[in-house]
Amino acid sequence: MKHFFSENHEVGTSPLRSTHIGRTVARFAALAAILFGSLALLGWEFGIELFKSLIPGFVAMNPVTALALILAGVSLLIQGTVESGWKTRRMSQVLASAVLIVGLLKLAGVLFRWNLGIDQILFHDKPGFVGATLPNQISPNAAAAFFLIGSALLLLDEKFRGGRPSQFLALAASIIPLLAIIGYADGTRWLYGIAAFIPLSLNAAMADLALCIGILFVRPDVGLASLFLSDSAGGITMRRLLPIAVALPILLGGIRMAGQRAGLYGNEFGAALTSMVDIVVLATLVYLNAKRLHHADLGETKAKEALIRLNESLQHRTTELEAAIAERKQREEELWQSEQRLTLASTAGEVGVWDLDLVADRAWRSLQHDRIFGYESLLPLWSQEIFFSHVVPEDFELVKQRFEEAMRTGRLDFECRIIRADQVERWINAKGEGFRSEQGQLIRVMGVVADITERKRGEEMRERLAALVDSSGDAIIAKTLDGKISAWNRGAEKLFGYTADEAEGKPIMMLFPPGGMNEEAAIMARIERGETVDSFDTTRIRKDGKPVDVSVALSPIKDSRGGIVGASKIVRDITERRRAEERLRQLNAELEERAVALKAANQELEAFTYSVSHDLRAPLRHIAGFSKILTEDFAPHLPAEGRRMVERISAGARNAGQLVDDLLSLSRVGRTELKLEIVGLKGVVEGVVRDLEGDAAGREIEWRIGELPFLECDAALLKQVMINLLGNALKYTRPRAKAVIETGTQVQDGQTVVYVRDNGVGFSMKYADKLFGVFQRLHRSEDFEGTGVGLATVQRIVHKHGGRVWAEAVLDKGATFCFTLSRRLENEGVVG
Amino acid sequence: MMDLTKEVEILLVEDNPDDMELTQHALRAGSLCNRIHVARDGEEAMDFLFCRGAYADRSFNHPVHLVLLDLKLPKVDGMEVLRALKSDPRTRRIPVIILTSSREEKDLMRGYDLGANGYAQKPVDFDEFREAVHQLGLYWLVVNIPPPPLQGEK
Repeated sequence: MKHFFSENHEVGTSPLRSTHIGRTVARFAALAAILFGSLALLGWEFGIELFKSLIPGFVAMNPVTALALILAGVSLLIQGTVESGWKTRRMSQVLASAVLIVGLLKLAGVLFRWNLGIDQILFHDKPGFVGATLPNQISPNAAAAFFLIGSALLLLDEKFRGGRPSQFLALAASIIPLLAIIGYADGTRWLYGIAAFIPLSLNAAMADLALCIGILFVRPDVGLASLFLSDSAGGITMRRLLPIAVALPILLGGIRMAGQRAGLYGNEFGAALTSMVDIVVLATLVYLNAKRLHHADLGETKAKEALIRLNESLQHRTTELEAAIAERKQREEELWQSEQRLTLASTAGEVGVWDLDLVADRAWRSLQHDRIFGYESLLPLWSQEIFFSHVVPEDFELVKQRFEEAMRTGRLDFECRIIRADQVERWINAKGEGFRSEQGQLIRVMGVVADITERKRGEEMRERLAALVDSSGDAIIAKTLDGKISAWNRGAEKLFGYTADEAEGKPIMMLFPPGGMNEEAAIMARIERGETVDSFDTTRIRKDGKPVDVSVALSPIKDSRGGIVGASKIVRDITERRRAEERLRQLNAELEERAVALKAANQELEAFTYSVSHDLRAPLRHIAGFSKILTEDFAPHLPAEGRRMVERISAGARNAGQLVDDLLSLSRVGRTELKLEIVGLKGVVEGVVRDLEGDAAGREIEWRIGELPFLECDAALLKQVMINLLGNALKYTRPRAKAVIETGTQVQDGQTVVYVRDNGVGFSMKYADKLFGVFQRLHRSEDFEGTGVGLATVQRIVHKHGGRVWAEAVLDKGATFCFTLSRRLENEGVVG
Repeated sequence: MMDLTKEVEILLVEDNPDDMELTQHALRAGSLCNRIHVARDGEEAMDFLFCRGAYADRSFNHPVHLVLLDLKLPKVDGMEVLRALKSDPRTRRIPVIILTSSREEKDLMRGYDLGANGYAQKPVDFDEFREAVHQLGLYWLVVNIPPPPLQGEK
């Protein structure tokens, strides 16, 4: 029971439609009740029997009943049609309460035998009101019905423990009119009338029934009505069966009664027949309905299965779709990333991207592209013309050519110089690929452009360096850390005989003589430490197997990170140098030998002269000494001739002694080192003149000493020279009454010449070349004594100073002896 | 005969007999002294001066007044004698004149380095020789004040 009255049966696919139908039913029900009531009232007012009792002869509806019906109908109408505001709700409730009270009062009156006279309120004085036996009354059934209906209307929307009481009340209320109608159809009076009371009129019964139905349907989304109206199998069943289940027995009852009254058959037969027909019809209906439902159900199941399959396939499709979407998302993601990367790459790589539409001659470019051309931000437009306006004139032709080629091949690749917007010249490299239309026309070229100035400059630099290396006369070789030759210049080709092709890639060891491993290992160890190896001499082997002496210098080759990747060697052929060195060594050796020999010879000479100076003198001394003693001590015993002889012995010894001294002095000149100092010649000459005073005693001598310079020379040796020259001058002027000996200087050919001039006996120039020879004399010893060594000594001394000595003379007039010393100073103005 | 222990004034160290005779002649001609002793080689000279060997009787307290030293001597060379003489405190003070034919610079240097008091070359000419010796004797035996004798016995 609760199920019926519970909330919200599923109303199926068109709730609005069922609501509408429900409401419409309720409206019609309400209107029917109002109509019946109004007609009845009109009937009473104007005495129209039809309106009063519907079928003539039947009981007429009590006017108050009619009124109550109207009120109930209005209440229902309000509830069903007007969208609820609480005022209307209140009104409906008030009306429902009125109906309820009427019913209640009447029932109370019946129960407690009160005659409240409600029935007579209206139209009591109209004819027909008072019936044959009784005045018209509200029948108690009607009162009970009113009570229930009124309650139902009042409690229309109330809920009680999950159910709606109004539903229950309405159903309960409907029994009364139903019974009445069945009774009228059967002719069974007690169903519509109780005891002595006025029975429920037919029209009132019908109106009541309508009201009940209306109440049930006025809330079409709940309870009975909702099920009745639903599109479900239940609703269908109810709609099909319920009216027949209700109407059929009434109808059959009526027919049966009519048949019975007509005497067609008896009571029992009639009952049985009625039951029979009932059973048949209902069973048939049920069966039909069941069959339909069964098919519908099957159909529903099939539909359900189909739906499930469809659902599955839909799921499947959904999964696929999801996957496709995910994939697409991923692809989009990848695309986005790829685009990011492209942007990043082109920015980082300073590569500009361009997309030229050949038809419109417009190009899309990345910002980097315009930057390369010197613009800070993207220009609004770019075309081939704008591009060409940047190309330097010299490269114009080349670029145009390349473009034309690209039109044919679809590939663009060139390098050229451009003038940037800031007037700076740069090198660029542009690459592109073309896209053709369906007709095969090139319509679009896409590519990149990069500023390659640094690289170009680097290349130029490298080329220059390479040319430098290549053209160098020295062999320049590069090798890797594992000893393979990586570079080989022309100098290397010349030196070693291998061409670059033959040498590159080969191990460096092929240039080494056997056993060169250690040397190479030591070198490479130093290179790997980053050291430079200064040039050192070693030997290498040429291609023809011949060894060659070389000087090698190495330095490490570093990569851009500073790591050592190899070594570069400069190898120089030092064969010539070696030869020269060898020669030098030989010469040096010879020189050493000679020097040694010379030293030995000198030492011999030293010893010799020493010996001479000692050993030779001694006997001479003895001779001289004893001769003298002889002369002195034994003079009386010696005849004059004897004395003369002894004198000659002494003289001989004296001469020999002199000779020894002179020779010693001559040899000493040769042996000793020059001790150079600044010497004032004047002082020397004056000193010598003083020393010669002894020899000059008793003679008239005019010493003319002129301007004599300061000379850089050996003082002792110079003195010797002056002694010899002045001594000679003194000696050879002896025959003269007055000897004039002049000493002075002259400048000849920019050189200072010292001369000693005398007016002595002179000599013949015929023998001039003999003058300076050792032991050479141009005069007889009895005329002029002398050993013939003096001038030889002078010459040796002068030559040792790097100077020259010569003499001019006229026989019997005089002689002039001159000499120069190559190292000399200008006269510092010392005047003697 | 003079007493070798006390009275020698000049020690002539000369190996050559001729030179010896000539020198003696020259010294005597000057009448300077008769007290000349001749040592014929370096060893004898050393023995004499150091009061040993054959001359063990001599004493350091009676040194000679002058040593005339030739350079080229047998057994012990003149320079050696000079060095020995001049490096011993007992004999250092004795005047030593190198009398030699050599006028070699190196002999000069070495001689003076070793402490020789003088250096004279023997000239070839005898007159000159005589004069030189005379002058030497005159100076060293007359003018020069001899070194004082050492205290104490040898």
